[in-house]
Amino acid sequence: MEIKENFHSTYITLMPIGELDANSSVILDERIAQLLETGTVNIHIDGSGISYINSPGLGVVISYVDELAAQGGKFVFSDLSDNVADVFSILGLDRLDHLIIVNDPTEVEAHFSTS
Amino acid sequence: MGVFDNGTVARYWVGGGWYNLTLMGFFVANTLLVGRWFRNIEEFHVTTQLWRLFIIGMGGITIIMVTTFANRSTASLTIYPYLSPVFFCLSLYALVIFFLSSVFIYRRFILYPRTRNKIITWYIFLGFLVFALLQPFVNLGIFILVSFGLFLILSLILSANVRWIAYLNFNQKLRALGLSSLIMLVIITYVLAARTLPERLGIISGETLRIEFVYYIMLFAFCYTGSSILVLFFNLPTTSIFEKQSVEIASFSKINQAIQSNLDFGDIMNTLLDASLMAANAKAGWIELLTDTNGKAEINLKKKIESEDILSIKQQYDITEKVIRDQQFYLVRNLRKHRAFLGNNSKYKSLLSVPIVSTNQAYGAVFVVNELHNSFEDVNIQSVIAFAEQAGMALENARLMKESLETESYRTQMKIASEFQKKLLPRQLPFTDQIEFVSLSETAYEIGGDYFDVVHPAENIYRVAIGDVSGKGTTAAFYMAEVKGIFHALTQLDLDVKQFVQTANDALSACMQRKFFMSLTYLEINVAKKTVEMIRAGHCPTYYYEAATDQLKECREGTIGLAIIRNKSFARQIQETQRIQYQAGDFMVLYTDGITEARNEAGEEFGYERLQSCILRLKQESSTNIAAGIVHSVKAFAQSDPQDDYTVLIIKFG
Repeated sequence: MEIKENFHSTYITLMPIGELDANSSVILDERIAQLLETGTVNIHIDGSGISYINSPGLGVVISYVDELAAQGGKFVFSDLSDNVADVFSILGLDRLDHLIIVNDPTEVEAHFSTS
Repeated sequence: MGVFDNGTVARYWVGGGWYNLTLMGFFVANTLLVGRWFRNIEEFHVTTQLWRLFIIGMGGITIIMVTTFANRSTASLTIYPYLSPVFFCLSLYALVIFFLSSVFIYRRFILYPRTRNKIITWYIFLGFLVFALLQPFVNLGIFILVSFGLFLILSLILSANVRWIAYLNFNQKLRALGLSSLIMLVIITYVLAARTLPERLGIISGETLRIEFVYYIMLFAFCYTGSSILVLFFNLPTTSIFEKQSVEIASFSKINQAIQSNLDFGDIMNTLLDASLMAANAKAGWIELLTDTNGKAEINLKKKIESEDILSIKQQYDITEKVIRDQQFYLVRNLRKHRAFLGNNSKYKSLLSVPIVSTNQAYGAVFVVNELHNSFEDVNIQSVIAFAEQAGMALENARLMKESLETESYRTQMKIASEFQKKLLPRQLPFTDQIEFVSLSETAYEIGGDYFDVVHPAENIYRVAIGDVSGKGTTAAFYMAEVKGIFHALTQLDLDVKQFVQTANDALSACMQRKFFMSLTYLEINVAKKTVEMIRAGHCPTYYYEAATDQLKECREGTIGLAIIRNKSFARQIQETQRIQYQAGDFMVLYTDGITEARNEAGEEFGYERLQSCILRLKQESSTNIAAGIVHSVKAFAQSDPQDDYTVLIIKFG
């Protein structure tokens, strides 16, 4: 798996390409940990490249939600494919305050500017 | 008519009288006797046989000497005149026995190893001996000399068969040479003693006696002994080379045995170093092996050299790394003149390093050094390379064997874990007229993270939990075991459905690592009231088939999975529970994501729609057939063994 990155004034966009499973999610895990160390706590994940996600992949995301929130940050997910969005929804992740799923990518910035 | 008339017969058949005939009988009888004696000696030990021949020879000489002295003592002969011929016969007997012994002992040498041609030659040789026995009775004139010449050639041919010498080591050759020389002296003594033999025989018998047979076997013994002495003598200097070759072969075979029998690592290294030192004619040597920890080479074994000397030779230059990287030997013809080793003040001048590698892994390198410069020749280097290659294979084999044993042990452990985990799942589910529970589950690995349980805490009450710990394999399985403990404890507390989920979330949040969570669907069924109260916490939607309306309902309402929100705010997430009033004939399908997320070769998931149509197709079936039908459809779709753990639980209401 490969992660494309794009820095914005108030957040960073990570775009993982490929499947987020037990093996590949380690790369995302390491990258988020690095960002946290440098104080980057507003993380936008562009899901257009994620073809599949399973529980270890979700575990990585979930494990950072509280930490980001504690430092005043959050996750914003956009462009999720139907099956990935369905996995998020069934697990109830759309209920989390600091994990926002947007359908319209243009809303991403607004979520970070209000934080 | 020619040959048969009396004149012709008289010409050829001269006759030797009774004495010659007796002599022939004596020769034949002793040949048979000695031949029989030596045929019984099966062992082939060159020096022992030569020693035996020498002893027989010396015994004979002693007899001849004693009888000669006795013969010269006129006093005794005056008293006992008949003793002279007795003494003479004894001497003759000793001589004949010695030469016959030499014939049969050398026969064993010549036929080592036996070949068809050699056996044929030997029979021709025997033919000549028979011919020699008949000579006193036949007048052949000049042909006697021709026959003797031919026999000489045959003896020389037989004397060339000295292959046994090649199998002797230096000491054995030296001993054989000494014994053969002594035997030669014995033969010469006999030849000198035999000069007057016919004459004395004539005196004793009063007739002309012929002893060609004796001459023939003397000639043969002389030829073969002489040939043996010459070959032994000229073979002595090259013996050490052959000995070295044979030690090399033995070392090869030892390393080969190591490959097959998985000798100890240390044994392999020891054999390699010994063999390399010997093959390279080296003064000293050592082996460096890469360490597991930092991959640096360290001295593992050294012979006839100290660590300080090794460091002094190498001068900080990591030769092991170089030979492993190049996969090639490294030869320094003169350490004093080589740029990489400037400042080296050791007494050693030649250095050879050969990598120890297998097809998959590099292990280290073997080093040999010599005091003379330019002392390693191509043939030495090739031998050391061959040894190092063999050792590499032996090490590879040992490593594979170790891995295989570890894997085997791991498999056994996993099998135990798998057996243990199966015991955590209910062995027998309730199956009554009022309600039927049927489950089917399988894990992707030996152990998995799916969990389900049905408890029957009170009459008419059944509590059902089905869940999936995130991840697969060992970690998930450990958590699954914890979940079992937590749920069993909670079901004893008589909590309502909401309280149960909330308490379970608190308990799991406390024990699970941050990256793990659990999805759960929890139900409480009252068979008296025919009600189901259900909560879905991040788990796959439950399907409920209503027989009266022939409808399959997807129960998607629910809350977030467990151990995701790890504080009190989780309570806010729990909405109202879902309540179902069921009728007889209705059934519910609960499952884990291994069912809906099973993928085919194209990467397509089985999904909810296929599951729904599958359930509808099976709606008239028994609960057992519904569970089996769903699993069958999923497997048919995926065309493979499960990639994820899966569980199907059917609850059919009566």
